[in-house]
This record gives sequence, structure tokens and C-alpha cells, in this order.
Amino acid sequence: MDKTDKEWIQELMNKFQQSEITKIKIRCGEIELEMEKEASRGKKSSGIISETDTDGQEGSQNPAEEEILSPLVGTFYAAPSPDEEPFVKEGAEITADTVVGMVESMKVFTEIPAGVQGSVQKILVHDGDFVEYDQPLFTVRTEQP
Amino acid sequence: MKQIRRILIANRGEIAARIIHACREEGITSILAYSSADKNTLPVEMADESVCIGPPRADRSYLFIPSVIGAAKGLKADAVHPGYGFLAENGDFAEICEEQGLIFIGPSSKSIRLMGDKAAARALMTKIGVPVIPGTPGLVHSAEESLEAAGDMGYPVLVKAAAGGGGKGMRTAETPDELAAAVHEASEEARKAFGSGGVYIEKFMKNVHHVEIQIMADARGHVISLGERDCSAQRKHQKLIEESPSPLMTGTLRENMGKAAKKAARAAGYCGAGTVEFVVDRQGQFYFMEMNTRIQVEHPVTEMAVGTDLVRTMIRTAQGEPLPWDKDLVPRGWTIECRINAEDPARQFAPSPGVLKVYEPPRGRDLRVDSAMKEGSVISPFYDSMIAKVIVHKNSREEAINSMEQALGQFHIEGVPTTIPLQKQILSLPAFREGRVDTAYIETHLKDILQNMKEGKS
Repeated sequence: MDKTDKEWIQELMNKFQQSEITKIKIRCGEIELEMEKEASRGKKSSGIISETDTDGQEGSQNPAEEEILSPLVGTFYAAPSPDEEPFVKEGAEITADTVVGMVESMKVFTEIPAGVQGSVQKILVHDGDFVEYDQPLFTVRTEQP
Repeated sequence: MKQIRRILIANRGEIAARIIHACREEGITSILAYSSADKNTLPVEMADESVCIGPPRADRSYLFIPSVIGAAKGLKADAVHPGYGFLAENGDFAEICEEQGLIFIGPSSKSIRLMGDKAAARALMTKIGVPVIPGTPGLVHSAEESLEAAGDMGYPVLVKAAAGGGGKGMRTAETPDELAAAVHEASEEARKAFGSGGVYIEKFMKNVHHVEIQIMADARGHVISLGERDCSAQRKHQKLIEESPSPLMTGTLRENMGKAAKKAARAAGYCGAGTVEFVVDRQGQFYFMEMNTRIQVEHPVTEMAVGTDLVRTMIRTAQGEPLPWDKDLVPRGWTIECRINAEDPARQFAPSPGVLKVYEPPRGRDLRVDSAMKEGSVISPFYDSMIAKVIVHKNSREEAINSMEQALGQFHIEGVPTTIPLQKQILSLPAFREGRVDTAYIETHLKDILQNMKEGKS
């Protein structure tokens, strides 16, 4: 295997990683290559968005949907204070910097930036709920269908 | 007396599994706080409830006090068990638990801080008449001071961080030339691991055994000794094999060491399970090293040697119950423990994370395996590399060693290299068989031991 082959394989691996394909087998001359990966659910972005374990559910039907995950364990607050309107409502247009809620742990309030641009599709938790690290809080539609 | 109903376990791996078992037997709900790296581990499956408290990096999860406390409060735990390592000997954490109305299953923050400062603990022991290893009365502050002190006590010397523990923050210096580097390294390691870099210097004791006394205390000030563990088989201050009794123990020595250990615990206002570590020389003189204010890795040795459950007793004393014993317990028969790590002895003990393709622990009478592993489990690169602890209990030392050799022979692990071949080799050493392995033996003879291991000699 020469250098060009290695580069070719590296490129294939990168393309495979970015694609929606989960399994591929290629034979080309003497080289036989087999790659397999888990189905991705939504694109990765901004640290708090990640592939979430959906426990056996098949890959998301809609690739343009992402989840905002809790950045820490604690109590979730949907509004800046009990008398105020929630940070966001379902349907709200948000950018990566939009604060969508807060998590309180030991009286320290941590704002949750959306980390993604789109519209809030569903709010998955209630004000005052105890949430754990990486727990999905919102689903966001990132593209128009 | 406050009845504990829900315990948050702020730890992982085999000790988390161990505490879950104890909770189950006490009829207490176990809540496991885990990092996202540990999501698919056995303790998460075993616990009644579990909560993800943060990302893999321990400083953002297992060591991050706001998240641990937040999880405990949010899930309405009334007590926290810290296990060993992580927050187990963090006085601030114990104090915050106390302030937040959570029972910290361990001693008070005051006792932890007192014994956690190794230099202060030495001073306290001197004051109450417990012999300590010759060394500087307090921290050393300059190169000149270090050189002078080390010169007075004679080389080799051991540089120890006041905040150290678990073998961290400790370096030996054989000559004056090595001293400055040893001080620097011990200090830096401790600063990184414990946030404080103060060091003191002790004489490096040769031809000594590491013998520690397990004590248990209740809130009424009643303290008992549960006998000793000999942990002389060590490499780089990491214990490999522990046994009880100690091969060099006599009835009188045990009584005297027990008395000293109890005195130490009383002076610290201790409550719960603790270990007072000593070195013992060939003449049967013992010297205080330090007190560990937590449940230790090797606690099963004592549990099997005296026939009790230390973790359950910890929970009970934490909720204010008196100790179930009115006099000291003495080890029966012979108990040995081997720690099995995912490390490659043939490659400078490199930690070897990976997947356990095969995991078949030995089974049998008088045999206990403490582990949180099963087939398919992952040894995570984020945490320590322990796979299991194998403990055997027999009538005599010889039977116990033979039985351990058999057990290790039946321990089938594939997927990662382990320390099993090394452990087998140590068990077969004439010096080990004769009870002559002192704290320096393994390190000194490591080359030969590894060579024999490679050649498959036994």
C-alpha cells in the first residue's frame, strides 16, 4: 500500500463519517475495505448538542431535528423568575446564542444557550423539573422541510 | 437518630457496586451518581435509581461538588456515600454535605481535615505518644531546609505531600542530588491532584512491612480495632496484594498496634470506618504513617478475616447507631486479596483500556470477587484501571496462597492485558511464601519477576 492509497482511504473514511451511510464495503484491486458506524441522529454542534441515546429507536426520521441537552445536573427553570415569561415557547425562532432556560444547582443558576439555530419544536421538560446531565430539554427544527 | 432511607453513591466501579449491595441488604434505596462515560456500566444497572452528573472528566463529574450535591438534593437523598478516591477525603465536600443536611457516610469534616493534613497528623500523633517515622516536624519551605533535614535523618528519604494519599505526591531521594527533584515532583503532583503542594520529609524505612489497622468508631466515641492488614507487596506505593493476619504479627504486637490506632482515632474525634497505617520493622517496632479516613480498597480482607460487613456498619454508625461489638475483633484463619488491573506488566504497567471480550471470574467456597465488570464491559481510559479484587479465606496462610493461585488460574479475561500473570508470579516467590516480602521487595526484584513471568515460570 503506497501513500496515495493511504490518502485515498483516509478521504473515504472522512466522507463515510460525514455521510448518512452506516455500512460500506469496497473492493478495489488488492485493497478490501469495510466500514461500519452507528446511525447518527442529527448533526453535532456546540458541545451541548450531541448524539443522544434513543434506546433502540432507529435513526431520526427527520435529520433536520436536533436536541438541546442539559449542560449539568440540577433543577430546570423555563423562565428567568417565577413572574416572568418563559425564555422560549414552542415555535420560537432561536439562534445559537439564545438562552432557552436555566439549570440551578446549589443556588448557582447556569444559563443554557441553544447552541443551534432554528425553531423550538417541543419543550420536553417542565419548569422546576430535576434534570440530569445530557438530558434532552428541547427539540429544535433546524431547516424548513 | 435519623433513619437513612436514600443514599446517593458518589463513586463508580466495584466500590459503587459494593455500596449498592450494602444498601440492598439494609433496605435502603441506592441512587448512583455517574458520569456519561459510565452510562453503560454494571453499577448503573444495579442501582435502584441513577443520575448522570456530568461528562467523563472527573473534575466535571465525580469531583464536581455542586453537581454531586445538586443530584443528592434533587433526588431527595438523605445521605451520601463517597466510596474511596474522588471526594472521599475532601473535607470541604463533607462540610457542604453537613451544611446541606445530608449525612456524609464517613467521619466529620473536622476529622477528615485533621488527618488529611499528613504533617499535622504526624504532629498530633507525637503529642499523644504514638510513635511516628523520624522526619521533619512540619512542612519544609526551602531547598536548604530540605537538605539539612534529610542529611540529619540520613538517606534515603521519602518526600511526602501533606495533602497526599493513595500513593500520590510521594517521591524517594537516595542522595542529596536527587532531593530537589523529588521535592519538586511530589509537590507538583500533589498540587495537581489535591490543590496543595506542601511537603515534608520522612526517613525512608528499609526492611519494613506496611501493616495497617482497621478501626471502626461510633458517634458516642466508642472505637474498636478489627485487626490488621499487611500490604507490603507494593509497586510504586500501589498495593498489589493484601493479607490478614500479617506474617510478622504476634498477639502482643497486635494489641499494641490496636491500642495506638484507637488512640489516634479518638484524638481525631473519629466516627465510622478508618484505617491507621504503620510501618513495622523486623524488631517489631511500629511507626505511624498516616490515617485514611475512608473505606479502603482492601476492606474485603478484613470483612472475610473477622466475618463482618464494614460498609453496612458504616451506614449504621452514620445514622447514629452504636457499634455492634464491645471488644476488638481478631482475624481468623488467613485471608488474601489480589488486585487485578487492566495494566500490562510487560510494558511498564501501561494502563490498557479496552473491551473485556471474555470475563469469567473464578467461583468457589471461601472465595469472593469484588468487581463491576461483565463480558463486554469497557475499561474506560478516564478512570483507574481496576478490573476486580479476588479475595480468598482459608485456615492457614499456605492454603490461602494455594487457593489464590487456583483462583487466579481460573480467572479468564480476554480483550485487555491484566496483572494476573504478575500476581501469580509474586504468589510463587519463595520470599512471599515465607512472609518476607517487605515494602521494597517487589520494586527491587521487579526485573527478575517480570523475566520469570515472560518465560512462564512458576
